[in-house]
Amino acid sequence: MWLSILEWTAAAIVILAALPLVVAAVQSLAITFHDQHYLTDAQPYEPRVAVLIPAWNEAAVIPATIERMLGVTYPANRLRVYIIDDASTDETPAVMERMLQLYGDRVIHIRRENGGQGKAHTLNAGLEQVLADDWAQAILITDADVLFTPESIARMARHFNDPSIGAVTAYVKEGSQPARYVNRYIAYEYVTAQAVARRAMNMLDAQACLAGGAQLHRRENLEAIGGRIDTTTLAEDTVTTFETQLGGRRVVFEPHAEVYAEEPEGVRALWGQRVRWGRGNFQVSRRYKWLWFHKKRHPRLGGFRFGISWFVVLLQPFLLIASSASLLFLYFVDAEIQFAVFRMLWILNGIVYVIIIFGARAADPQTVRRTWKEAMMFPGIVSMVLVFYSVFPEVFRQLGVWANQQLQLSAGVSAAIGVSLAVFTYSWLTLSMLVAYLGKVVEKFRYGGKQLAAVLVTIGGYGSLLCTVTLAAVVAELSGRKQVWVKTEKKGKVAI
Amino acid sequence: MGEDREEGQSRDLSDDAAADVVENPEHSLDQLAEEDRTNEHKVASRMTWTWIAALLVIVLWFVVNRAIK
Repeated sequence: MWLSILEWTAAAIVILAALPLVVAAVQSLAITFHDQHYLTDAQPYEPRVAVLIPAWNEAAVIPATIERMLGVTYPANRLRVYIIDDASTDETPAVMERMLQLYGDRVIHIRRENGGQGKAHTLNAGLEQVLADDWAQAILITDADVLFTPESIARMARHFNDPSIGAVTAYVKEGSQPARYVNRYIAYEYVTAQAVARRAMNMLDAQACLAGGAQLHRRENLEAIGGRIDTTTLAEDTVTTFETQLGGRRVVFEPHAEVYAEEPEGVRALWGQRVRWGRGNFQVSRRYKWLWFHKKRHPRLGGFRFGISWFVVLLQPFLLIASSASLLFLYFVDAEIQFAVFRMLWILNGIVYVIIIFGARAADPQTVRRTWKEAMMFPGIVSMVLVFYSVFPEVFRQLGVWANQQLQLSAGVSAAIGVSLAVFTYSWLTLSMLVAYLGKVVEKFRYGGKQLAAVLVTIGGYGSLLCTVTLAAVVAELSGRKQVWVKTEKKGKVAI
Repeated sequence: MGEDREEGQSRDLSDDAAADVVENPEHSLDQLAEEDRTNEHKVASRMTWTWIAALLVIVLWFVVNRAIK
């Protein structure tokens, strides 16, 4: 009896590995009804907007950034650009002198003499000045490399006609040109993580995170949260988002306010950025531990659906490892149940993955057309083969029989290969993370490192790489590793 | 609201439309909202087809699996 209970528990753990994909698929299906919630209260409304751009050694891109920002479709006397110079050591001060002469009081230069403490500290220097006078009715927080499409600020600002809304976030798209394979994976990832997931969160009326490069706040919202951005975590945007909503003001995602940002083009740079994000999310999970799954403490952030969508991301690597271990346990205990559960898992993964791709295509067909190969390869080649194996096991069995006949293997060798393949297959959920991680390791090799990294990420899967990043972030947090703010390197190659 | 919109701002509009914007600043914002609502209905429409496709995938799997057995 105990064995039976153990077997069914293991079977349940195996299936649980599909939970993150199931949540994503449910979000995809939910956006069918987003149009019924969209722009119901928004009216033409153009508050005075102060644009805050933190800058450190951005002399080469600052003039273009300012010109583009002043060129958006918004009343000229209702938009000011504040460049918060974080003690730049390049030509930034001289460049800003020229900008001030050109644009007068539409551009303001705030210079910090002691910098390098991170984006949140830099923004706080700007916020202090902006909130000191009553000109700004709304504050847009962005980055020097982010390109705003002409109507994006107007599209965000119109939501403030509804007094219950405290902040609006835009749809940040990957805009590197030329785009390398990592850029294209990120472009597709952002469709699912923003265009789809944030639409679904609009419907829950609970947003997890305002985009760091495009968040518009009502002035009263920033004042209510203390007039400062949190500097104690690596996820200051998420803390701002939570504090806004816990204060009773809503946060909405505006899917048609599109902005373009430059994202990492290599696995190592991506790793650095995402470990920081992952650690930040872990810190937020701990900080708001009183909130999770307590609807009475906050009806939306404390709700079950929001809690699940938050924690599946953090738990995903652990679910994959537990699933592999359970599959191996079942393989040696009860192969019949094991194979049935294995098939169920991968067929479920396959179905929900098809739904996710369709959902992404519905939300942003233009980007998905450009990144369809990455969309297909997101789970990795081996995982795709396992989906086909689960759907059509007989085809693969016949293939095995045919190969055995061709190679004339002895029964012993044939059985050994069979067991090895089985162990490999059932461990794949964990092995895929290892393979994707190797992509990060080999990328630094001088000869062929980048190409080998691309091959490994394609085999292991970009999704598995993100799981490994989450695992590394959780390990770094639990082991108390020092948190260091490292600016992501930008090359100024973003274009609309 | 929009009463102090300045002329010469960079709107990508024809001269006639630009004049219209100055006279009636809310007009283009209303148009923008209408355009976005239409696009959002298109997302909903594409997702409805996804529901149908998802059902088809499941049915197809059952049929193919049964045929192979």
